Amino acid sequence: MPFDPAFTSSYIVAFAMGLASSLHCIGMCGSIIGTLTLSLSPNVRGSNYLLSAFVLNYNLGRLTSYMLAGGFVGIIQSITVMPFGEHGYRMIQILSAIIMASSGFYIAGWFSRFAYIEKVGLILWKKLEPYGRRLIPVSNRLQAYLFGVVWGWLPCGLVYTALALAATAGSAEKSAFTMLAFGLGTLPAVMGVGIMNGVLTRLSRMKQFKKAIGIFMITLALMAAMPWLNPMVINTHTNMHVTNH
Amino acid sequence: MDYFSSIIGKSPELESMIRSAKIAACTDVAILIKGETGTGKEVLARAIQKASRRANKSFLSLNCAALPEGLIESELFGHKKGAFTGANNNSPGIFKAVDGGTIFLDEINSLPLAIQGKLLRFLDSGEFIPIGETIAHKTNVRVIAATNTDLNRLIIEGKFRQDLFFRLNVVPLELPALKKRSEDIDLLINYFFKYFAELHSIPTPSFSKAALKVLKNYSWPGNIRELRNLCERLSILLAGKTIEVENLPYEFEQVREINKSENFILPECGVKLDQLEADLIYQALDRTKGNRSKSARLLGLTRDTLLYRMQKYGFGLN
Repeated sequence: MPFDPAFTSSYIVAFAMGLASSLHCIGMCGSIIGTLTLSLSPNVRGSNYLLSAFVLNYNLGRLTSYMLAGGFVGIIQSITVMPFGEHGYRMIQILSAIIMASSGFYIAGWFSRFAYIEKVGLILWKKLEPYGRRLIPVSNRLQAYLFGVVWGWLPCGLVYTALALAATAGSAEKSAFTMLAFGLGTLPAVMGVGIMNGVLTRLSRMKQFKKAIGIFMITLALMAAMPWLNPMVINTHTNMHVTNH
Repeated sequence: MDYFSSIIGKSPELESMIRSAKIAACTDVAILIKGETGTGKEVLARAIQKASRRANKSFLSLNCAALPEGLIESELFGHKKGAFTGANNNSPGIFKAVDGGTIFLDEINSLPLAIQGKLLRFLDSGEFIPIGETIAHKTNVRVIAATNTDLNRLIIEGKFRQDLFFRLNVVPLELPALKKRSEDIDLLINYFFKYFAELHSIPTPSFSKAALKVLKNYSWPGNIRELRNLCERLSILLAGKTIEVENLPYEFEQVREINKSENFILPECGVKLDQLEADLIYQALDRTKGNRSKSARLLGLTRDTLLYRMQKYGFGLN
């Protein structure tokens, strides 16, 4: 079986994951963006242009943190996996698929204990979170961006799932861009929450919808574990270091 | 200082809610706390107030269900002398009295529709008109509301204003029911036992493993309040002792029976297994009105196994 990492390192997959999973966590990030938006001054809230700029900056900050985390995971992956060559890569690919499948089961409501994965980032969050609180009330765009940077490290099982996917990208740079693609996927739901709060919240609470998203994530996990099953694979990563071994 | 340490628990659901609450506490936005009765909505509201910039200002907790409908408007927004029979003095109302502070409106679902409109106006502009006056007053009060019922259902029934719901629901914080975080029961018990031991100057009791299992399987309709009361009662009655299953109150009887049934003891006279099995299948089908999937779940079987056994004992499949 030819080795093909194209699927798991696909930015499209990361974007789709972000898009699908973000609707699930509207409750968490939705309330944060709602809090941030309403705590802005009435002048900012009264102007669509200014409000959009602030909301965009919050999210740019969040995406910056996602990219940093992705780059970090990529570096760790290259240090720990490189000595084991293709076998090491395959191991990390399977581990990533297990985490993705678990998050799918979690979203579908079949594996609530997956939420314990959030404990992973709790220590870092406890150190960062006070800096974030000091930035509130946010009064300028730089503060909005910096708050977003802190917000990006909020313990979240779905972000960790995306990081597991990013770890299979093959390099720090690609891991960072995988996380960027994931973050961009979350933008419509997180930014749209102010506009379509009712619709999105209702959608995110529908059991059938959650199950559909969960099954989608499990399918992605299966394809990630067995890339040769995926009909969309276009091998664009032939120059990856792992293939050179 | 962590003002949220008063909320005991390590379950991911609770921790995630506290993370949102900490961010919301730093702002001045209205908050809606959702949760069943006894989940600790007021404790959370107080923690938010203490962690906010209004920590040194007044905090007032008001149960909307406890106020008579005719008085609630006057209580909240005040009245002018002579505005109605019995209004012998000017009353500033709670919103004026708490100026600069935080007001916690518990059971907001019980607020009459007319008052909901006034509250919405206050949340939007900070203004309200006391009864009998024509000029709007302005105050700076942060509102934290709480509900133990589904407001969406009340909106459909026409008992709650949708616009007020949207205004309050910007930061929804949902306190999970105790049955959904049974892993926190140990922590809560330890906390309450220690608290009551200090309060009443008595030695701390402890639960046996079997009793703890019963507590974890219990549905806790009264949530943390019910657990707190149980801990206080047992702290006093069985101070310094090990609490066994038999020491638990009557309401735990059902859970005790379920736990016992896990270890079925064969009677001395033996059983007719086929007859017993057929009887159990009959009872399950009777209880579920013939629904075979539900019956299979009740008996801990797969649907196919149930169908096979139904055939075996001559139950009509149709």
